[in-house]
Amino acid sequence: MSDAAWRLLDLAPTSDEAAIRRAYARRLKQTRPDDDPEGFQTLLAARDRALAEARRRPPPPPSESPVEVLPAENPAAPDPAPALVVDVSPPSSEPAPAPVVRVSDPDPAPPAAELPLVIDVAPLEADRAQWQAAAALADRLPPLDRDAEGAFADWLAGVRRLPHEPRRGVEEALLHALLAAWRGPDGQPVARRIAATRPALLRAAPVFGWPREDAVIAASLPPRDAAVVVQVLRDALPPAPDDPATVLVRTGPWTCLPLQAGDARAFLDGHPHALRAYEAMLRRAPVARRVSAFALVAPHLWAVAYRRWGVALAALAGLWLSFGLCMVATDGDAGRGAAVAAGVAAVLAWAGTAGATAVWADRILVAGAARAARRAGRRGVCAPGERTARLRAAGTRLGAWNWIAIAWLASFPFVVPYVGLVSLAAHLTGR
Amino acid sequence: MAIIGIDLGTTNSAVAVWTPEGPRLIPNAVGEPLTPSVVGLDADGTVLVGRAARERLATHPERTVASFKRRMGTGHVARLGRGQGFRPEELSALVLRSLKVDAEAHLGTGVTEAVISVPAYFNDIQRKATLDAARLAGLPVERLVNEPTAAALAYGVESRREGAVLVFDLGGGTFDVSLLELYEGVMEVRATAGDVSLGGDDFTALLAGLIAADQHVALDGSLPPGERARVVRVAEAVKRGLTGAPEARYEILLGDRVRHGGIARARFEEAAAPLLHRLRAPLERTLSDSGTRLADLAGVILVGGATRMPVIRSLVARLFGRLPLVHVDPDTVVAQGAAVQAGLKARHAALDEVVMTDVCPFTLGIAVTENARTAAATQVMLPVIERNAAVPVSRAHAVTTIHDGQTRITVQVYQGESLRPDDNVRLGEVPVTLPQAPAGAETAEVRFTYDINGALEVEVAVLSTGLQRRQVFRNGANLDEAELDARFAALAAIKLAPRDQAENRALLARADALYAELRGEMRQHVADRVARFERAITEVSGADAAAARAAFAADLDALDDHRFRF
Repeated sequence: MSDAAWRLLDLAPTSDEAAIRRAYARRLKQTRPDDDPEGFQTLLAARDRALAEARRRPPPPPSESPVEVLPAENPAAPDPAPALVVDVSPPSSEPAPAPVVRVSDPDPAPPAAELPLVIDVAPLEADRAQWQAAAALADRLPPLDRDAEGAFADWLAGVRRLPHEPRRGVEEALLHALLAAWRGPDGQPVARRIAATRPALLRAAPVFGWPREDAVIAASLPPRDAAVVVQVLRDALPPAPDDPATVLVRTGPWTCLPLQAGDARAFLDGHPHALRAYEAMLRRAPVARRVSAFALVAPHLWAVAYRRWGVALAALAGLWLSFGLCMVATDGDAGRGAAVAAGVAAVLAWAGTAGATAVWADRILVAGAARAARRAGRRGVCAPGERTARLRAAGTRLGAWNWIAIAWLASFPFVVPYVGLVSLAAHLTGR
Repeated sequence: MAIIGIDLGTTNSAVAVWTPEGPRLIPNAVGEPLTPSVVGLDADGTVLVGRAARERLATHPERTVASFKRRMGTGHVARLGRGQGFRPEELSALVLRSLKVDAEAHLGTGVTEAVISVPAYFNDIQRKATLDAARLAGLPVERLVNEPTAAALAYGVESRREGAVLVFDLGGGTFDVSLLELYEGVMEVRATAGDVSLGGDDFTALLAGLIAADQHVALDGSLPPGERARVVRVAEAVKRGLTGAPEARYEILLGDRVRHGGIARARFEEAAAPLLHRLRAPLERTLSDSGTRLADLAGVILVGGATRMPVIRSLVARLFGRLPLVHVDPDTVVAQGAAVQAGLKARHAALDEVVMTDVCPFTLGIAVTENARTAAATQVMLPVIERNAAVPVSRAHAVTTIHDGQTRITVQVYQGESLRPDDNVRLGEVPVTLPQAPAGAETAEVRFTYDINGALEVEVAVLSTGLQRRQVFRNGANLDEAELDARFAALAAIKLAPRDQAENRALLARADALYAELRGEMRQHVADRVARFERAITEVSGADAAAARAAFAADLDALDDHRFRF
């Protein structure tokens, strides 16, 4: 921990950046850069450290009064340097001082009666020391740029020794730091900065099991940031051979996009029912997520079944209609057996053409969808919204091709048996 | 005894002093706050500085020099007439001397010390040259201050506002951008970037090119120097005219004919697009280095006369999505800031609560070979002090030998952002000797110390022997000690034109320039006025002389107005 930094600033650890700046300004006037170059650099480093730490800390709850160090109020421990008091509001102007949290107080616990009846199970899984170690690691995150690889490797070794649950907390801190490191001045991720953290990503990936469909990423970050992280991780890290993160997502009656889970969420963002169905699918079929072959096949089978119920009914109706027409045309006497044979032949022809066409059409569609997804991924890092829009546009294009394919396929069950039967009947009756 | 602040600019210089009420500008002999940075040599060997010299640019181009700040640190020698050559340091020294004389006359006391402003993007060599110039002028200077920082100092001390402020400093020859954060009396420079060869002069040169093209002349050696100077002068007038009007008309004497023409603002803006594009890169780098969002900027300060151009103002308004700006006098704000810095240095009580921290605007590093096996040919830059590190700063880096039995390391010091040392500015080298050992066994620590004035000191320490070498660079472009002394003596012998005649000389020089440009009746008119004025100043003195001067100046203004109809 950087206690020394806070001590140098004469400030209690806080997440209030303005207070840190004020403390720095106060100390700077005693350590002018032209008088004391080394003191100035130390002070500057302390301030940057404090600011970095403040950004990692959660902001103070709004009801709480600012955290202050007011040694003068404590007669038991008089402070020899009242000039170094950092107070946000001058005490003299406040006749009734707001409640003050003293940093030296070890336990500012609320009254026992007000304790909520919530039992936090997480600390039960690992022992206290490990949680403390995790908190220390989360605080002591080394810089993520290229120069810091050695320090980062040591840090990761520390993380590796932690059990699963405490490790999640560290992972969360790292994710926040990464996001901060990627952001350019306008708040959007910048490719150059992402590239600078790539060595760190490569080192951290095996420790945290990146890339994967990850509850930590989804739970600890806002959805936009989560999508960015998932995308960057996927772009930066080589895919695992049995990458379970690829899921075929049905996007229309027929369309399946092989997508990363993060992409899938972004893709389905505008279709709440589809997103719900997708989440349900992930919940119900965890195996499908893990086994990539099955993940590729299962939604596909579903699509085939869908088509069978939809298109096959129409095809059967057409078949029976043409069979009936055939019976009327041959007038029932000369060739009942021939007519039955013609009916069987018609069924076979229908099944063959429809099946083959369906398989081919599906392969074309799936390949196209895969290409679209790859293209969207290759375009590099872009804003999550833009990426969603691109994927959605790709989905729409595929949808249009779907309808053309449906019309084309649907014509076969009607036309082929009919033409076949009529010509067969004409041949049999000898006309 | 006082410490003064000097803005030694490309086109104009100014001097100011800190008073308890704030910085105060010191007028020169002609009574103006701005002294043109032009040096000319009179026929009798006296040196003219300022207004008078600027007027002689068109009439005596071979005996007058301007814009020498752009050549600072290059060792370029300008010849005035057939006389001796002057280096940019010496020319700057003459300007500084004239400013010093003005300040002493105004303050009534001696000047003990000065703070001089330099473009933030001046490199080590150029900064040393500026210090040499001060030394040649007999002006003790300990502190250099970056121009945008000075501007922000003046602004911050005056307004006491808080927040992030961007200083956009487009002077005559240099462009600097600085982002500062002001809070609690602290003025913290967060990032600085710039372009040392981009300024108002480039826009003038562009207009001169347009005018030359319109009049079918070539702006190269084929044109006599007098005519070239006239084209530049007309271009300057057109540039100023375009500030207030959508089109500027001009009239110029080339060869034997008076030619007329006009330049529309739209045409100028189109031609200036490449220059405007060059303004963007430093802006973007400053914003990204400081990690500041556009929305968080509390204000944009425009500094430098060139920012008066509407094309610059509209560019800034477009880039920042708001009309700039904080209203300060763009010509003198740097000098005022230098005076604030002088006050800070003297620890004036009124500035007790003010602290300024600056940054080193460029990366300083050494050339190293990453891997001995991939040949010595591939050297890369190893940054020791990264750009925009707060100064004063001292950083060290360890380097090792790459060959077995290597006994020498030459630490080559570079400044710049490129990975390849050849693309950066070479500042110098420090050779050290090492004991023989296998490759990688000997380590030397290279320590760079960059002080608050922007001076770099390099120290190389060999760990095993404890040998230390410390070096402050003065390379070939800088003068060495003996030479400095010799030139100081030579310069001291040169007489500046007497101060009390400066105003008359300036007016007469201006009349000469006008005479050279006009023809016929108008020319005769000028000659009459000059004769009358010369008679007046020999016969009368005091208030009457002042009145004659004012009348003469008014006449010249009228003639000038007649010539440039905007």
